[in-house]
Amino acid sequence: MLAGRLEMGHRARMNEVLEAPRWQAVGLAIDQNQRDFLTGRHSLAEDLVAWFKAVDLFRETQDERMILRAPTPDDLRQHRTWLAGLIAEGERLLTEALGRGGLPDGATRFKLADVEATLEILYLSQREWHGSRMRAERRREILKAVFNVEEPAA
Amino acid sequence: MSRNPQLEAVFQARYAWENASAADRSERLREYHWLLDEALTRAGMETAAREDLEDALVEAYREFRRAKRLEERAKLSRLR
Repeated sequence: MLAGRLEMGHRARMNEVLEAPRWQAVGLAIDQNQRDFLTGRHSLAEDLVAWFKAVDLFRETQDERMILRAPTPDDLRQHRTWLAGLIAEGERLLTEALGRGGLPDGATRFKLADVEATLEILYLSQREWHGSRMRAERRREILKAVFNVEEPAA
Repeated sequence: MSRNPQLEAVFQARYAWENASAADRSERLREYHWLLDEALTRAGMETAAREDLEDALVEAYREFRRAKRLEERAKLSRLR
């Protein structure tokens, strides 16, 4: 019986290790983007495009590992780490763009407001996954008052 | 949780914002915030913040998002 449990634990850990590269890919993309920005390898518009892509990869991974299934403690840890990295990078790019008086006309299809709207997605995700949770009583009160929906009491 | 059309519209708007192409995100965010503000005003809760409403909807939105992703996945597998 103990051997069976150990085997199951081992398998769970192996699955964890085998599935880890998804977060690793997010981390690699963020690290590469930071290096490119610091070395000034690309234009600011290109750095922003790379950041948008890293955000998309992050969100895809978030859905895969934390929405379509229950997140493990390691998922939450990784999520918190890369989320903080993406927010920092996005804010830095935004500050740089503002310091230059905005993006050159016609250089990109997106505007700085779209960068801010993407940062909002990340801040919301940070609050929802890593912030303090609303009390159940308060939640029921709001849902009833605003949408007239009942949430089953826990 | 039982749903109502206004709640569904809020979820759809948030999903549209989060999944919009980069160039459309600020517009989609404006629509989503407008729906949140309208819901609060209609309920006479102007003093409550959008954040309170979002915090109250965390679990329900995750369920919504999960269902949407599964639906998209099923569509994709039918195409393959």
